[in-house]
Parts: sequence; structure tokens; C-alpha cells
Amino acid sequence: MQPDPSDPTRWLPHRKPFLFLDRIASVVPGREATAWKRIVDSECRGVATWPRAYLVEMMAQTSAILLFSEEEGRRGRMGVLAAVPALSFRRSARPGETVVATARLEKRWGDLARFNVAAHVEGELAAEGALVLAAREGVT
Amino acid sequence: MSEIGDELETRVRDLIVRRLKLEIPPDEIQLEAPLFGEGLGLDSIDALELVVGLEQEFSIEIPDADVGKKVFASVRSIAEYVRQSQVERG
Repeated sequence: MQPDPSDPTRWLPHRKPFLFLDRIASVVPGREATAWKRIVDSECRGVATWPRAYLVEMMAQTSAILLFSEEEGRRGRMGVLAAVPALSFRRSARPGETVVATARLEKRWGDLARFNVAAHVEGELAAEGALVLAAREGVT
Repeated sequence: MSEIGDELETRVRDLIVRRLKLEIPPDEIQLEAPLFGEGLGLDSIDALELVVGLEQEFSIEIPDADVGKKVFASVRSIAEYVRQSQVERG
């Protein structure tokens, strides 16, 4: 059976509770990726909104999909967050809302890659900026 | 060095300070001093930020880290690469 390309575990080594993507909406290898996640009550644990730091991790995981998207597979590698050159927040996500994260590869440089990222909550811009990921070997 | 050449070196130093958020005046960066390792002590993450900044500022391309090694030797070598790229672009 062919692996489902919309399944994030096909692209990333992360598993719940550290996998912040429900489904991959689209991937243009080496160019752009979009993923979404529905926020549930249990993930907010008594806090009214989903922590904004989790928006950053969600955008980073969406970016990580693009790191090896032009190759046969991750082959035991993963992306780790190396720098956050720019980031701003406009709103938070609440339980019951859906977050859509997009990542566009701006530049590769050795084992580093810079992405322009954004997160929208129910169609409204929630966060945008730039992230740098480093490709690392020998993970899983 | 022509006035136009000096202006390019100045723009490169301004860009380095601005993109990397360095807390030094741009003219403290010596034109021939190494930027990586010794000298300014920049690292690969700084290099990527500079690459993106230079490509946007001067509409040029620095294709990969091998080219980057020569380009980023100093402010002078960056300015020479920009000059050459712009001439080739026409």
C-alpha cells in the first residue's frame, strides 16, 4: 500500500504529543508546503488559547517537510530549528479552531534552509516570519 | 577606487550590521578583514542571513556554499562579487 502523502508521519519523525500537524494539505517539493491542525480542548489544558510557541513549532514542522521533499525520503534525518530571524504574532488559536501553516523555501545553504512562514487561524493571519532549519543526521 | 566602488563597500557594511543586528558602527568593519572564524566571528547561520540580504539588496544570486566561501572572505570580496554579478547581468 502506498504511504498517504497527507499523513504527516510520512514526512516527519515526530509523534503525538509532539506532532503539531493533523494533515498535510499540499507539498510542492523544494518550494512550498501547507498543513493544518484542529486545536482541541485537551491541548490547551485549562489555558484559554493554544500557546503561541506551538504556532512556531507548527510552522517549523511544516518547513521541515520541505527539507527532504525532493529526495527519496528522510533516511533517518530530521530538521531542527536553528534560528528565528523574524517573527510576529497577530492572534492566538482557541480550542475548536483550525490552524493552517504554510512554509515557502527561500534559500538553501549547506545543511541550513531558510523559510518564509505563516499561520492562519480560521482564515485570519495569526503569525508570520522567517525560520531557519538545519538538517541533522542519525535521528530516527 | 572610484566613488561608486566606495559606495558599494559602504552599502555592504551597512547591510552586514543591519541584517546581523551587530552592535558596532558599520565603518568599524575593516574592508579586508575575515568575516568568519576570526575577524567578526560570523557563523553559518549568519552566512545564510547575509546571502538572503545580499540577494535581495543587490538583485544577485549566490548559488551555494562553495561560491560563498570565496565571496564571504571579506567586505571587499563581497563588493567585488556584487560588482561582477551586476556587470554580467548587464
